[in-house]
Amino acid sequence: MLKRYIQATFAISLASFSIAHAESTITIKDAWVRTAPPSAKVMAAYMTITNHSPKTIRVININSPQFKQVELHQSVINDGMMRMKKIEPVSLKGHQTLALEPGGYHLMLIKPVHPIAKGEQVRFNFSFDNGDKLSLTAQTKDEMAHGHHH
Amino acid sequence: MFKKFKILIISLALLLIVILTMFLFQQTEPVPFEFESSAGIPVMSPAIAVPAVTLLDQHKQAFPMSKLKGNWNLMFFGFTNCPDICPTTLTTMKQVEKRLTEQNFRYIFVSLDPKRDTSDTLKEYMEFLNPDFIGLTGDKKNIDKLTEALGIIYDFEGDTRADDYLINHYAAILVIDPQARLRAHILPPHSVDKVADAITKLSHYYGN
Repeated sequence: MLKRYIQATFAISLASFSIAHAESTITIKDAWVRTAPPSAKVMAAYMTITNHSPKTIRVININSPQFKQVELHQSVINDGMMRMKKIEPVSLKGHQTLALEPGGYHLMLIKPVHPIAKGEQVRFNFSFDNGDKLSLTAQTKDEMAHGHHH
Repeated sequence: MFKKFKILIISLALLLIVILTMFLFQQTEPVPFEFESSAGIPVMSPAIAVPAVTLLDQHKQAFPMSKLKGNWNLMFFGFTNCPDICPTTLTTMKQVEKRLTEQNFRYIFVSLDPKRDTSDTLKEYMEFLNPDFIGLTGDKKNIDKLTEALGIIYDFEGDTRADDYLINHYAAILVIDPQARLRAHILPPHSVDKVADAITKLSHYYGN
């Protein structure tokens, strides 16, 4: 009985260890939210997401307590026509880096709970199909940081 | 023998017509300015007249298209609920304005979404992005007259009744000359260099 209990505890601690360890399989950096007028119903966030593992990892959910809904979209130009393509499911191939930048991939932030002011930190929660969870904050600003212009 | 002669005559006549047409054409329209084909800036020759419709600016003032006359204009179509491409393009246009500050170019944003984009919405939007820019909205009928004449195609995606929709739209920046005629399309993607270069070269070449 005791032995079983120890085994179970061990298994649980192993599992929690793997979760803690797995946090480095996906990294998200340079996250920012583009400022918008106070009454804006949609906004956009940009960032760089990297899958450091050799396996394909799918994003199960992206949410923010400051928005009703968060979706990954891509602006696609075709014959001068700009379309917004919802990316679903969002998956990152092994060692893939997905750059979310103005005019391309972006997180579409739908219906802010309250107006998001310049300088405000927006929190994002990501969960992945390998069990990883990632939370980060992104600053709201007018433009991309210097050194990232194309 | 006679047949050969006939072909020669016809060829010469055709050549004469071509030369005459070119001559006549040159009198009304200069030789089209050409950007490198990879630049993505098709020039209209002859330029296309902007239809005489009247829209409403962000200050609720009537804006007849004749107001485009007298200056070179950069015109972009979109909607304020557009999260990525419209703010990106308008930010680029703002940087172009900063760079070409000594020029009297006009920067215009036309809404394709008059249902949600009232003058007040546009006022807030333009004030946020750049109060110098002109924001236009109006009757859908008038906006459509304008988009049809200028080749701005767009469609709605989602539930237009529930106000939960996006607009896919032609995302070129239009260059309108001082006679209120469409002179060129600046196709996306838009860098500040590309847009500034296009309007500078076109306004120098065609003049006022």
